[in-house]
Amino acid sequence: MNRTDRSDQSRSVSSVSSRPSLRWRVVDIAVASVIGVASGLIFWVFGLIPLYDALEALVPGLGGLMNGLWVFAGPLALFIVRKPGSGLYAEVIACFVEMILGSQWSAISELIPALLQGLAAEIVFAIVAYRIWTWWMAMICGTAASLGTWVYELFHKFAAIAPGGKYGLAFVITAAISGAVIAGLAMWGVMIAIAKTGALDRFASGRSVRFPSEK
Amino acid sequence: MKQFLRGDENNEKSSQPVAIDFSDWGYRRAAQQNFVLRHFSCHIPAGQHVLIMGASGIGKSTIMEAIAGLIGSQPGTSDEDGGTTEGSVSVGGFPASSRQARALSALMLQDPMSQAVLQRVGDNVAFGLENEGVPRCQIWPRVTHALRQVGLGDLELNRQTAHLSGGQMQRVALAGALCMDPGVLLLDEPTANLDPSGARSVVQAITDVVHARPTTLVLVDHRAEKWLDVINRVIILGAHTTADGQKTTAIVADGSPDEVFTSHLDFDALGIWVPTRYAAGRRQHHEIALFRSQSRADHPHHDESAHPISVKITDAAVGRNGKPILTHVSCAFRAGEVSVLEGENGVGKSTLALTLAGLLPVISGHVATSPSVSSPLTSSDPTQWPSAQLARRVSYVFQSPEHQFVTSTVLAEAMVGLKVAGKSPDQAREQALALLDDFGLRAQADRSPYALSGGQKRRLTVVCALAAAPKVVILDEPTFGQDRTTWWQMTRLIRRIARQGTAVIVITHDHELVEALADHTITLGYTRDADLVARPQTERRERVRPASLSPIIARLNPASRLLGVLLLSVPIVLSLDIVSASVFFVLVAIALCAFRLAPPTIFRHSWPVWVAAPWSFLAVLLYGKPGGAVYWSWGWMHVTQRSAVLSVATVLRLLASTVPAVLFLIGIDSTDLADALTQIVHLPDRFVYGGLAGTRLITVLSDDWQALTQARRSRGIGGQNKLTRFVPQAFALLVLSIRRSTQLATAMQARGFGGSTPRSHARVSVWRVQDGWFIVGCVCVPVVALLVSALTGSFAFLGGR
Repeated sequence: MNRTDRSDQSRSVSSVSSRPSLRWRVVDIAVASVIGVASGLIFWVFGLIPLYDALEALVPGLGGLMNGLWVFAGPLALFIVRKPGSGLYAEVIACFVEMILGSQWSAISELIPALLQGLAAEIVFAIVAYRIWTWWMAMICGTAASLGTWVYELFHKFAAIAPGGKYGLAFVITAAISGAVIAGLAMWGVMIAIAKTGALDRFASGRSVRFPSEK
Repeated sequence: MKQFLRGDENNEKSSQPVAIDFSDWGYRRAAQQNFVLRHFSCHIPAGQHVLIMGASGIGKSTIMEAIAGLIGSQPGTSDEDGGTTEGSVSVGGFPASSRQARALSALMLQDPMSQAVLQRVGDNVAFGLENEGVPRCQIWPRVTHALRQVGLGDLELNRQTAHLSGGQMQRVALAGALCMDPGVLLLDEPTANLDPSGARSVVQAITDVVHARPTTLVLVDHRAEKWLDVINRVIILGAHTTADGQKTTAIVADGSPDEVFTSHLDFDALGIWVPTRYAAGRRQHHEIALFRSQSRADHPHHDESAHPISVKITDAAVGRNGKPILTHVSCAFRAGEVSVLEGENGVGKSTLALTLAGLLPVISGHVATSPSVSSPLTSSDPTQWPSAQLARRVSYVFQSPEHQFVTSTVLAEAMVGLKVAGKSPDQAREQALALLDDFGLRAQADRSPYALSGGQKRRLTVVCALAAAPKVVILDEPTFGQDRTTWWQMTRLIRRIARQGTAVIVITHDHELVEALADHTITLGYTRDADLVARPQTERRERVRPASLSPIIARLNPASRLLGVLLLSVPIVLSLDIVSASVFFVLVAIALCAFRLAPPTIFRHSWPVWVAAPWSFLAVLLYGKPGGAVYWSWGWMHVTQRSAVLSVATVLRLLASTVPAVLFLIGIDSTDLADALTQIVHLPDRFVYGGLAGTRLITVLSDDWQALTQARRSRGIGGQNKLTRFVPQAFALLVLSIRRSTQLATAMQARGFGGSTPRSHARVSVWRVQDGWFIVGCVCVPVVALLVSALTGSFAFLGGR
């Protein structure tokens, strides 16, 4: 009862002011989840690359450099859907998809990093109340998502390896750069490219690319 | 209590038909200049059966979405999608977008794939009832009743929807609409994507239903023929330019089928087929026969030497992934002829055509092209040719246009083939523009190919295939979903290609197209000889998968399995030391044995963890926190006493937390997991079932990936290095998946998903005593390990400083 009242109220408020509607539509859920699904499939394919684990473990900084590839689901969903929680949601779906595909890397142990990465990406846009959507915000968001992995690794890898040591510092610096470039800037470009095909016309993100004069 | 009351309300909800009223209604999509429809007024009394017709893109689906309350809002405000509404639509006296009105209508869409929200048949039918909050005790009787109504009474409720034929899937969707007891049944081209036998079964089911119970029916279809026993009113929509020069849609004819089809409307211009019984005396009646005899007269069918063989297949077995679908296939296709491949869905027409197109290898036998096609290449087998050479010789136009687009504008799309054929960019541009002009697409040159209408997309794919001037063109269902005008454009186009000396192969169910074009027809069918043909998909028996490798875990609730695994692996991170890690490892090993998981099973399912673990070991050994004796050092690497101990502890802990995660979770059914997450963990239904519907797309997407690979090879841009091929194709898949998910969202909303009504649950997720014990066990294992390490004094918070 309460829930309906509140949602109706928020809808009428949002249409009066020009504030973005933060209420999730069904199409927001469907698109965020399919971004999660597609990302999960891609993560799963990466997981099949032979010798990647060996290189990542042994070459300092390589794990960090590749980290952007593992965290882009959340930022991409945020750039497209622009609803609170969309980054978190897409990350979690991606993680479940890996689980359904029978991920060798026991995806559930990735649920917690997924939550951390999603949350980190989310916080960046929450701070600006989901109102600023630019490429540089995208880079900050990608960096944050990537540092989510680092926070997780503080409890795992960096319990055994000193986080302030050379290996640890190499990881955090490369992870931040990789997040900014791959999960941030590149995904922003992907969003624009998708929008140009007209597939995002039902989204504010798509309309801002295709019809920039409209508000 | 509240839930119970809701149910009673629903019970009382009469299944009486209701009226629909459009009053000066208009709708404009977000960021569009023109209204799709404007000043549209129309009254549909309760119980009437109406067919709405009109050229593609005229706004028929918009009308259906408006009645279903999926678009539109109060005038003056914009709806959720940013669209603008004028005037009003009411259903049963309520505004169409209100909750009451939405509960009165049920909408069925044209694509069977996008309407299957869940994996199992019964769950799919029940989905709408859950969204309406119907109590569980009423759901299943209504589901079985609805399935009986559509003639699927003997289908098992746990059948996978993916294993049904298109006609069956569409009838499942109809059952889903019927069990809602709608006052208005909305059917948007319900048979457009089906083969003739599937379409017949759906028409029959709909006819039976509307004769058995009073309902208001609104249908959209390009062909009235099959619905004449059902409908009592026809509304025809046409383009209309208002006084201020705006283009919009208006009703050009409205009345009984007799009145409308005997009137003097220009049906040809409106893109509408007149049913046979009304066609006597009209041009349409003999038009196809006339076209055929004319094209015969223009190009009399000489001797065979005028039509040399372009490609032939000899004693071949064709199929996918090495599994033959058709065997002992021998046939030849001649230059300048149109050959038609006919047969039911699933019989192997596309597989045969893909084999001829050099996109699938034969399993045995040969495909050979004539030297006139293959020269100067040495191989006559098209599967051996590089992608660019293939595109210049054999071209395949796929059923789904979206699979074939590789660039961002219509012009660039048309230039791909010309560039492959070796033209310079300037030449390619010039010729591409000429081609687009020829096919009425010049005005769209700068648009995204995805943004075209269905008919335009299909024409563009044909233009693209022709651009490389191939010797053989294969078209898969070129007339699907075309209105009469675009149908004729396509038919003339195919005739023209053949007349230019190309061998044309058409896969189709369209009898009129066969009548108009076929020089040569090949009908594929099932035979009793098991050697010849694989069993039809629909006869497969469903195998129930066990929920876990362990009989004990199989009986646990999915939520407790998930929660247990998390609880097992989280507390242990507090300390990284050799004692806690060893105790943890031993306890987990005992637990796995207690769950009757034998070591061979464990290794078979978790081997990658065991392969990866040594690298973690090595990383910590080389870079781990230093301390004690130094054994070896080089650059950044230092092997010390402490790093050695930490590396052993790390590996033990890693194995003990990831191996059970794999084994405890493997086999969970995703629907069961979703039920548990909503009923036990109380996560919001919209997000859980929205996510579940998204994950169902995994199978669809992997089929899409295969289709994309083939389409790209056929267009001449496949087969370069793997990475440059992977990235654009992955992008194409992403775009396609977003399009699929927006369709899915519409289908889910049409079934009442996402509304404010609290959902009920058709399936029960039970939390039993053993689930509690499992959780307690999962908490105890790391806690005991940590206690032991604390008592022995080796506890080291996060591995110590």
